[in-house]
Amino acid sequence: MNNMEFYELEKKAKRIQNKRLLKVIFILLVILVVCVYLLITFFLSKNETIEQSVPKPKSEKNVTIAKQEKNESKKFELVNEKKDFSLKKSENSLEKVSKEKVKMKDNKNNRKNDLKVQNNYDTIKLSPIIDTNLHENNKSQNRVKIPQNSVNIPEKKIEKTLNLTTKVLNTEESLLKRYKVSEDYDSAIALARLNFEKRNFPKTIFWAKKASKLIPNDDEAWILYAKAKFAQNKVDDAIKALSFYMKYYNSNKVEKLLLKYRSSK
Amino acid sequence: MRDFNSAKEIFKDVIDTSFYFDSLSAEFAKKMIRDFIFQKNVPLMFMIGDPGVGKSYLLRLIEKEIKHKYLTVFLDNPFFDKKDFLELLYKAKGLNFDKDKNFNDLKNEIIREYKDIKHVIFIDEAQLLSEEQFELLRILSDTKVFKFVFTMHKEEGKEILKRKHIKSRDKSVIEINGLHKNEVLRYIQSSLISNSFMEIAQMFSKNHALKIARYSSGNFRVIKRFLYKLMVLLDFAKKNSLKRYEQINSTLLLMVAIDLGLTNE
Repeated sequence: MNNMEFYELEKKAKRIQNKRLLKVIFILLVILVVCVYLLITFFLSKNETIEQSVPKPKSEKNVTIAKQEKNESKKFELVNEKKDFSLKKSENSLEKVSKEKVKMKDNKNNRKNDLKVQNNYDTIKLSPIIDTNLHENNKSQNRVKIPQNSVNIPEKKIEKTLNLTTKVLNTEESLLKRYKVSEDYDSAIALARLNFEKRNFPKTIFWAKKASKLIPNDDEAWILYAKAKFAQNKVDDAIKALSFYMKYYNSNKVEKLLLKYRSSK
Repeated sequence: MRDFNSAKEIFKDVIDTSFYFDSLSAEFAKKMIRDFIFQKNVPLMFMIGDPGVGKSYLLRLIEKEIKHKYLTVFLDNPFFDKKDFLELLYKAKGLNFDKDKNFNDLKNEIIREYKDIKHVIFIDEAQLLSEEQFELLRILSDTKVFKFVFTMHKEEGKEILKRKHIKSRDKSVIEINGLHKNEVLRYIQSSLISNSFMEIAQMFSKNHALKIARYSSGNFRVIKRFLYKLMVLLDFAKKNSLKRYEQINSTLLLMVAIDLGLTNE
């Protein structure tokens, strides 16, 4: 072996090694780019789903009641022993409430418009209200006129809210689609919130009931239901729903709202 | 003292049965050949494998091992005339060969002579035998007197085995493979240590051996050529005080691979 031969071989070997190194670097770069691309698409899709499933945060700022309640809120702990009991009670009440609705249909009073809309959505059994004497109580009690201010939704804010909700029409559609597929609590409560923001109270009631059927102990469904009733000037219904909830569960938010409604009477 | 120049002599391409490396494939083949020799009713054995995997070496080794118990005839050059082959058998037995006798007489006589003798006839590179020569061997093997061990290259051997007159015969076939990648380091080190090159043997790591195995595909002949060339390069580096090649490294191995044409890059 002479010098020439050796160095020629060395030169060739180095060239091949450099090629191999470049190949490895290229492969690593490709892998890196693919990983980054996948990560970006993953996070983007995740953000989209979060935006779709939670249309609340932006509009929530405009809904005074909701914001107020949120700030005060702490998660309450569920009393396990009462779980089954509340469900049974709820079922009993549902039948009675449906009877009441039939009577309400016959009763041609000033609330015709409200009922028409409500009948469209109240075809399901009502979960939050269990008071069997609801109808009688309605009769016996004098309706308290609630000043417009008591529903703490300033007009300007409502306008903003409406603007925002029109922007998320697709979101409502997608939520409806999702609910049809999975019938889950998150979709139902999101739809209740969305409709409350749009001041569509019959729909709010409808979706709050759906949500409360899915998770009876969650206070948000009950609060939305009560607020919607309150907004419809049905203070008694709101109070009854909240006090029924407080019989079996404990929630600061519900308690405060109940006190507020009682004091407004 | 690292005497690479002397160490390279170990790896010259010559069959040296004084050093046997007990690779898995070789051990298995040895066992099969021994079993075949002791079997009475199977007259033919075929050893097939790629060139350089150690078929001829094994044949020589077995012949050497059984030589003291059996009469062995070894044909490493298969180009013979029918009568030449019989002459070889006569001479191996120590008989006088009369060229003037006709072929059938000679054949019958040799069958009689070999009938009561323990013997094995080894034929290397049998893929080079002509149809006519194979026919003669077939006729002799049908007498159940002679035992033949053939080695053949894999591809050609497979074709020969498909021939009708071979296919229908009782035979034993064994395929020999090269070294497994995990056996290469042991082979290199045992070759060097058995020749008192302890220091050079210690220069090889598992990683080096795996690379050599990859370049050579486990082929004995290629491994030997590889190691021969490696010793030449190491010797050159030592004599020219090239410190970067004092130890075996990937560049040096690649240089050898390039020189032997074992890399496509």
